[in-house]
Amino acid sequence: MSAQKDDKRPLNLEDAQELLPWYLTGKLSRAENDAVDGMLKGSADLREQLDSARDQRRAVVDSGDAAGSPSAGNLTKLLQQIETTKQRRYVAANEPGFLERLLGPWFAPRPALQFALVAACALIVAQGAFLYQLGALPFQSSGQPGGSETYATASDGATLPAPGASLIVSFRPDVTTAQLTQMLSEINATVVDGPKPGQTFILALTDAASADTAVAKLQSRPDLVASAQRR
Amino acid sequence: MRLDAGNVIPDGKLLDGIAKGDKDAFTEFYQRHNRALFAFLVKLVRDREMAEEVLSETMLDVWRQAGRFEGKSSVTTWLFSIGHHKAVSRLRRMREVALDEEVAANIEDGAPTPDVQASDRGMSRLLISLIDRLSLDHREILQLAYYQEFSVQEIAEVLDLPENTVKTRMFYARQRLKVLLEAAGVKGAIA
Repeated sequence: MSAQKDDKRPLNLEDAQELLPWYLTGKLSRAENDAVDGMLKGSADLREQLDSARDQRRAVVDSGDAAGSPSAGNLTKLLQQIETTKQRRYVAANEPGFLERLLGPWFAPRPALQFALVAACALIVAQGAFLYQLGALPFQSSGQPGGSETYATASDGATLPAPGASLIVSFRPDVTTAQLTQMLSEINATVVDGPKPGQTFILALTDAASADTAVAKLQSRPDLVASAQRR
Repeated sequence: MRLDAGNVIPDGKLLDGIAKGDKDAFTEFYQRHNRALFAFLVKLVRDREMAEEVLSETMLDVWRQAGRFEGKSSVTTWLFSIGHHKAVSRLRRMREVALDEEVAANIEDGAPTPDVQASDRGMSRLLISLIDRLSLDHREILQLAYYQEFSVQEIAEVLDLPENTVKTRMFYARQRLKVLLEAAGVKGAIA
């Protein structure tokens, strides 16, 4: 801020009245401060306004101090929340996009090449759709046009453990892979599914009869395991 | 990020750390700013519980957006700007902004007794009760100028207003307080 309103005319009484709050808090420029000082000497009205502003300021400060602090647990809760809160990175306008980073110098400066790449991708997708319609692909779902095979994962239903021989276990978010592996080894279990939301896994036990023992063992480690139960 | 004995890490450095996921930097940042921001938010939303929620939302935004801080304003004005927008948005959702004056009118009158008027402390208490009756815009600008001691330019950044509007808004906040003081029986009140 400058001592001159609109950088042309000097401060008048109205300007000085407006600036009084910042005169009190010492936030004016030196020139403004000197100008207000000068006007205060010549104006009893302005001096009264300054006294009044001083009272207001004291009230606002008292009132702000009385607000106190947020509860002590607030920071703890926040620290828990940031564990699951993604951070956004600043992306400069000239920062390369995904395709540019992937394809490097071939991509960025040549619009014709960009168009050719996009067209090639579209062609591949169209061909895939056409072959699917013809039934020429090996992973058709049964009942689909032209499909004669049945889609199946490597671990289809037949490989899942029988009920009672598997557990649903939620691990703590900070469990390391080494701790998880150690725990699985201790209860003779393998992961058959997961992780699902909440660090939850389906575990298959080598020995179905040991399910209760395994659950008890998992539950004895609350530092690693949030919950464990038979499936 | 740890504090070295006797060394205060600048806010900008703390934000750099936060942007890299440094929880110690975040904790230090929170401990440095939570009281001032909380005092500001309590005055805005007039409810401690809500102020604490808005404070948390603001700090979470700091965690999310630290990497996007470009240093065009100071870290403090950036922080208060986030807090201001979150509080106003919360109040809008509650439709309090539109009803602000109506709510204020229902707050106890707070007229001073002669005893209260007699002392500076009594005057301060009266002023506090009257400030609570001001509109959101006026409460906010009084807080930023007097409690946070922000300059005109800093307040303009926080509220996203021209500097001249900041000065006139502050002037009218003081005028309004003068009217309330006179209505409360304080003769010769001058803004």
